[in-house]
Amino acid sequence: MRSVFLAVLCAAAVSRGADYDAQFNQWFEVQTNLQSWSGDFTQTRTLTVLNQPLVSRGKVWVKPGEFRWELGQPAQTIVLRNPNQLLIIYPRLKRAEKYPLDAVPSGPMKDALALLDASLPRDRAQMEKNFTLLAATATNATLQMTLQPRSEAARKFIGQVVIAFHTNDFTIAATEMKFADGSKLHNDFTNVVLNAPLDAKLFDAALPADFTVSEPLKK
Amino acid sequence: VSSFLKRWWWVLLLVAVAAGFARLRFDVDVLDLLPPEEPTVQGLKLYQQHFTNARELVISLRATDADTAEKLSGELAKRLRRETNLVASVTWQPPWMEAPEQLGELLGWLWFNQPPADFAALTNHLAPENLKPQLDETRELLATSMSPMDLARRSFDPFNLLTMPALTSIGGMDMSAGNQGFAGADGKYHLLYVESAVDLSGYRECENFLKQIHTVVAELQGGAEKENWKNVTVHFTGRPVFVEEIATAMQKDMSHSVGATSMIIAILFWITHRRWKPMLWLLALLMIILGATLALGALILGHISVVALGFAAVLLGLAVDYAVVHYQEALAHPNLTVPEIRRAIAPSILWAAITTICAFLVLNFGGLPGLGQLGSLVAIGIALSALVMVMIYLPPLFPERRQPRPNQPPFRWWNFFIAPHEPPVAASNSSGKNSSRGAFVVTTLILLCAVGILLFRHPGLDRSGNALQPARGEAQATLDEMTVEMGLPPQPLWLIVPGRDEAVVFQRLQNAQGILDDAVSNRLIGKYLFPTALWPRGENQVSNRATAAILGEKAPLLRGALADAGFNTNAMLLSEQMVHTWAQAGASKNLIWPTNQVSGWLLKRFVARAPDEVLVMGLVYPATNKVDAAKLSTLSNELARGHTFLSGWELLGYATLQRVESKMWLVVLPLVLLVLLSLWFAFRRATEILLGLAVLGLSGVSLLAVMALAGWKWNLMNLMAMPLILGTGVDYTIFIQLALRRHGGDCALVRRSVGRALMLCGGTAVAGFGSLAMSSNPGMASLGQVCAVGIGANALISIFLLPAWWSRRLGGNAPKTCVTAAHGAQPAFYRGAAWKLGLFCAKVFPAVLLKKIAATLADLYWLTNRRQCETVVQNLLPLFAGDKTAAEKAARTAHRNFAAKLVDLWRVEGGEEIRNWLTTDGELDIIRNARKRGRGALFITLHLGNWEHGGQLLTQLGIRLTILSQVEPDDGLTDLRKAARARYGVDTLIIGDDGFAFVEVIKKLQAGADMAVSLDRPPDRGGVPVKFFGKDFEASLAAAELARASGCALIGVTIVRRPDGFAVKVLPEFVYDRKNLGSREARAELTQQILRAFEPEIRKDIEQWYQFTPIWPREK
Repeated sequence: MRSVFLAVLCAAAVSRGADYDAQFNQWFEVQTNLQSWSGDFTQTRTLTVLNQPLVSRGKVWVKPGEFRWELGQPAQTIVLRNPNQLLIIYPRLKRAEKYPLDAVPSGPMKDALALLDASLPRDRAQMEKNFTLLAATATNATLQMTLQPRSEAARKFIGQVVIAFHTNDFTIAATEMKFADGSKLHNDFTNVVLNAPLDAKLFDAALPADFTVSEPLKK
Repeated sequence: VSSFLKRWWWVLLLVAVAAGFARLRFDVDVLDLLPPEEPTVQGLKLYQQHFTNARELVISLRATDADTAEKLSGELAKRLRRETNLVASVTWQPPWMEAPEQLGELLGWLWFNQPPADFAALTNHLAPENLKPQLDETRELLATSMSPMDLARRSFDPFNLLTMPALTSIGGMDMSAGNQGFAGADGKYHLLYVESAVDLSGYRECENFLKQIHTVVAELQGGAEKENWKNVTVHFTGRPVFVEEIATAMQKDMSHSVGATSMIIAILFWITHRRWKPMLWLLALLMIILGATLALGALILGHISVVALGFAAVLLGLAVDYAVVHYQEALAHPNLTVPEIRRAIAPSILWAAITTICAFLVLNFGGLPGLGQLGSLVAIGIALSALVMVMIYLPPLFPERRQPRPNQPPFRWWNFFIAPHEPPVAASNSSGKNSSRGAFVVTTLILLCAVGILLFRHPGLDRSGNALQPARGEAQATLDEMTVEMGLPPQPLWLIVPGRDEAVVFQRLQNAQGILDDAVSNRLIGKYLFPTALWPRGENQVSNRATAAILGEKAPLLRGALADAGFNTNAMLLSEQMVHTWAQAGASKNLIWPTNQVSGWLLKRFVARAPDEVLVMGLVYPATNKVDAAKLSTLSNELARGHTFLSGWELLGYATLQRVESKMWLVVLPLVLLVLLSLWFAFRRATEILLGLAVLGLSGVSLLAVMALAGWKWNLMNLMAMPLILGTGVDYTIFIQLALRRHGGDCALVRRSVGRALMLCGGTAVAGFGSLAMSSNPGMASLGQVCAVGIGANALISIFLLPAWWSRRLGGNAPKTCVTAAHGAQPAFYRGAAWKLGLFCAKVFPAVLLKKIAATLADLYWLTNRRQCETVVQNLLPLFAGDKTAAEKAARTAHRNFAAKLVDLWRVEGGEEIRNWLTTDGELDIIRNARKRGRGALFITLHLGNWEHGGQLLTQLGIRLTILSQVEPDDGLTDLRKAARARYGVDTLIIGDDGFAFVEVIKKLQAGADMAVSLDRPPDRGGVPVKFFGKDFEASLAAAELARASGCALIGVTIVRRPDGFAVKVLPEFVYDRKNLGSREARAELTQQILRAFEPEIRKDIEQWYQFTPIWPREK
């Protein structure tokens, strides 16, 4: 009885998803033509080991194939992604972790990295390749998609991804990752600017000489 | 008493067989085949004994995509876990992913093993005043870190207790490893480790367990989700599968090879004899022999190795020979009773069996215990086969002949080792020159082809251990697939360090590290992995106990600090376990190990603990993918001196081969000696020994050529084929060459008789070994192939080529049974060299002394050559009306007399003139009167007394005699004697088979010559039946024929030794009507008359009648 109920619920969600098809397409169209975007964000981490969520603020700069996240003010953590690698820099600790994207072994880690990319999708095909649309809900000015990773292995790490965008200007409003252990990582974006020129230095992976670089995936 | 004893021997044997069956255990561990003292073997044994879980089944699952593989692996694990009576546990992902908190025990224990200063620092780290800053830092990290590793770790390790050096060595604990050890790189390949809930010590238990697991898997695959299981393959490996596969293969090998060999034996036997009863009885006895051999083997040797079970096919091939030879003898001699046949055949079977037993026992010197056991089993089986076939095979087949004759003398045990003399078989003219030429053409072709092939290609030497590894069944194929999918080195080298306790092992680990560091710097190895950091340090644990007790009380404090910092109880799970471990460690009195499931899972990968021994395993990676086995072997030996064992299949193969090579001389040397001794005892003639060696040589070259063509290599196992091939080759060459002697070089006859038997024997041996080629063990299969080809070559060359070679080398002077008997039976002194020695002695030593020595030697000969002496007894038996005792007495004296006669002859041939003739004038007048007619005189004599002195007597009478003689068995001897006779005025005419020589004799007689011929031995052919001492006798017509052709005088003469001289007896001239001699009956009558006239002379001096070859025709 319960499974029947769930099936009906999923069918309803999917049919609702179909209702917003035109808006999704519009949003993806904007993403495809997007040269860059940047903004501020508030990150809320709800961890299973903590009684209260942890809130931090930061900035993000995104262009095709690359992004830079700065978390904390001043930045405690910088995540720099370019086509070949992901670099996590801890300026206060003068430490960095390098993840060559072509050397990540298959498993939850690889899936997680793929999802990080996919959570900022640029086209619908890419999104549908990685996710199943579980639900679509509209509020006043935002449309929220609840996605589930198609990969079973990825689901062991991240159970759901939520992407919300403004329906008026099709800028990103929020993202959320729900982890398998019940933890959540929620980003609310503000001051989003589309297609503004970005300083190339923002994506420069060069590190000061006194930084210690490690490659955790290197055996 | 004898039958009582006989019965008790059989009862004893039955008891031994029953006891053996009760003790029978099979050993499926191929490593038990190898020398136990070899370090690589010790290492591999320790690895298999301690690091391959005897109760762990590994299931591999391959799906078309990673998700399906992951999902179905989980489902399979879930389904198997429901079978609680069958499965103790199923692990399908790293255990810490299912119970991460359990890692706390291992981590706490690792801290406990740290140097005391580091461990003591923890008390400061966890001091109350430091907890808040520590947790604040953790919160900040959890809020801002983007590192998945940090986020995952610090969530459960808020006090940052995992930062310690030992952890860097533990693979698989970080998230990056994911499903490492459980899934392949693409995620489509998954592994499940299933621990059995039932005992899997025996192969039957393994078989049942696997059957039930297969059923469960099949149910799941065919259940509600069967669509998901389409295109999903499931395979099984692990020790239970290996044990089940090896045992099943062993059963299959046994049944297939025994079945195939038995079938071929039956077919060959049927083709040869076309009789059901002997064939079925033979097969039944063979099966009994196999079972009894297995039981006796178990009784004597203990566990029977799986590889040694290959003995069955080998034994079948050899055992059948004894039955076939026995049966053929019974068919060939329908007048003989079974005991008589047994008496005739047993010595050859027993000596052949003893030679073969020796050849197989020599395998025990080869350095491979498994092959030694194979040799021992075959040896036991052959002894049993010889006994069973000699005693049991014939009686049921010939019930009317099973009882001995009433007057048959009883057989003693030694009779079975001393063969009676076989009467010669008349030669026929069927040997053709065309077949001889053909044989030489074939020989040349084989040689050219073989040498041609070997010039361009030759069989190499497989230095790997592949021959020892089990065949690639599902277990091995799955293991290989696992190795590839998991990215493991394909041929890892294991380093096993055993010791009585942890401290000893640690010391050895450190010593080994020093050696391995040098090996790395010398680039002999690329790297090595030792879990040194994870090894318990007794002294650290003792020092850390007090600190551990303090830390073990910190749980409430840590819980409070976490709560104050906003953490909930989830954050304390790991720390709680660590603190609990410290509390236990603080209270401990002895060295401790972690015990929970996750710790056990991790530690058993490289640690094994037995009641009186602990072991640790490391991995060594060669510098390149080409292993320098020689240098690694040296490294292995160096490490072994420190009780550290470096091992791996590659290294094992090299080390074992080295050992086998070094011990090969211990096998080859006795074998070569055995071969030469066998050939010498059989032939005592250089030419035949060389021909025997030539057979072995050509067979060896042919085998090498076949191996080169087929791409076979010598390996650890088939190197041991060499002694077997040599042994059978010698047997065949002896059988054939002795048969050629017996049959006067008649190749066709030899092929029809012995050749046919050898074809059957060789065919069954080839079938036996050939069936081993189907063995699941590659080494045993290669042994079977090589033996089949080698023995096949031996048989074919011996049967079809050797007779031609023999005829070419010896055919011209092949001894024939005409006036003299077959020379195959002649004693050793009928050789040129021995004769010269006799002549020399006769010149040097006084006659009295020499005759004493000769008489002693004759006695010795009588005792040691009973087979030859028995012939003399049989020849004299009719003269004593069947009184065996009297005949034996006379025969023995005859041997002594013959020795004295030889001395006399050597003295005469050495130039001494005889003066002490005891003659009467009247008798000599008979000679003079007969000669006066001028038509020649033919002096007829017997092998009585010193008949050869007649030449000198006639010379002294002024008569020049020509002796008609066959060729002596040795060319040198013929010439030597001819020259000696010439010195005292006697001519020699060698007749042989040449018809023209006979014409020459007639011409000389017609011209008035004086000639001598002996008449008391049956000729090869053309004899006539007469009565001699009242018994049928095949007499030579030579005298009557010559009389008819020339009209010569026929004078009978005997010369016997008396104490005071040589008594000459001239019989009255034999008068005949030449015209009447035109009919064969008349010539036979004249011959009868002559022999009858000699009978009284022989009776007077029976003990000087020297008949060493059978003279009476065989009974029909």
